[in-house]
Amino acid sequence: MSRSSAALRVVGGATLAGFALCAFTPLPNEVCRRSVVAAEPRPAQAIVVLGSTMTPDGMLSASSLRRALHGIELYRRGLAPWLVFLGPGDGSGNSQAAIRAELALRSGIPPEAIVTGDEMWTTREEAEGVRRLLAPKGAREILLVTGALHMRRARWLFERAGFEVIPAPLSDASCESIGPESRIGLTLSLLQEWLARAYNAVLPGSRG
Amino acid sequence: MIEEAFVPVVAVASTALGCWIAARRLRWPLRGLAPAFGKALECVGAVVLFCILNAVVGTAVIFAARALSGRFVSLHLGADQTLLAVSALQALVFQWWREQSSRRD
Repeated sequence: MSRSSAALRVVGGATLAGFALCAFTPLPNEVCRRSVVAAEPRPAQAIVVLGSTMTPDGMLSASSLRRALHGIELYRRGLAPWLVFLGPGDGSGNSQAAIRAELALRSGIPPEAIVTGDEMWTTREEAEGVRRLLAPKGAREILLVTGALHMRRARWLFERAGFEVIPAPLSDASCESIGPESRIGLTLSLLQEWLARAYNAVLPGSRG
Repeated sequence: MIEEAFVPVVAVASTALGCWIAARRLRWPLRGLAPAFGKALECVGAVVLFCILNAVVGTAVIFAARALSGRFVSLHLGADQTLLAVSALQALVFQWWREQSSRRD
């Protein structure tokens, strides 16, 4: 057997072993539980709802909608006087931030409490953008709303931008995934998040 | 729980059935099974290498697109699962090519 064949077999064997561990054991569930940040909502100076995705027909995705509703709920509980919605546009004039603000207005949130930012494409840009948006209001302590797996990286970036962050994640991490397919999906989400963290750590000046 | 056991049970049952048909009906020698498994591992290894290569090339393409167009192109494009199928196809062709080349030598 050639050296290249042997090397490929080692890589292949390790991959299959890793696949079996991730698909047929609770390893990804345990790693997920250790990766998520627990929610600890308490009064702050602003609620910041991070952007997510839009559907091709210009509607909020399920995760974008859930984040917006979570932010509205936190505001209604009286946890902060400002509600910041983020989320870029889809090129057709719509933006997540604007659609979410409209949703909040229809839910009875006063317009003067709503702040929007729609020119931010990454979590890093959101942290910098929110700093500019909230600087005139003097708000440094924020309730941060995003997905549970995304929270650790988002908190790190917002703290680097000078905020004191109180995590208010959605419980959407599916750490309790059952069955091989959903555990493989969870593994891919964890990998993607780790790569994004590494990227942000290694290339501090770039867009993530 | 059926959710946990379903895939392993199906895999074991279909593998056993395949082995039975191959050994009893087609009379393939069992000693060929271990080398075949080794070849399969090589294929999986090649798929992984092509996945990594596609990820590196994809990242370079995204950075180039950002630089040339001046607009934001998300790195999440590189997470497209279609690339996994493409990597598998590339690996299969690569493996067959390698096999043919080594036979000629």
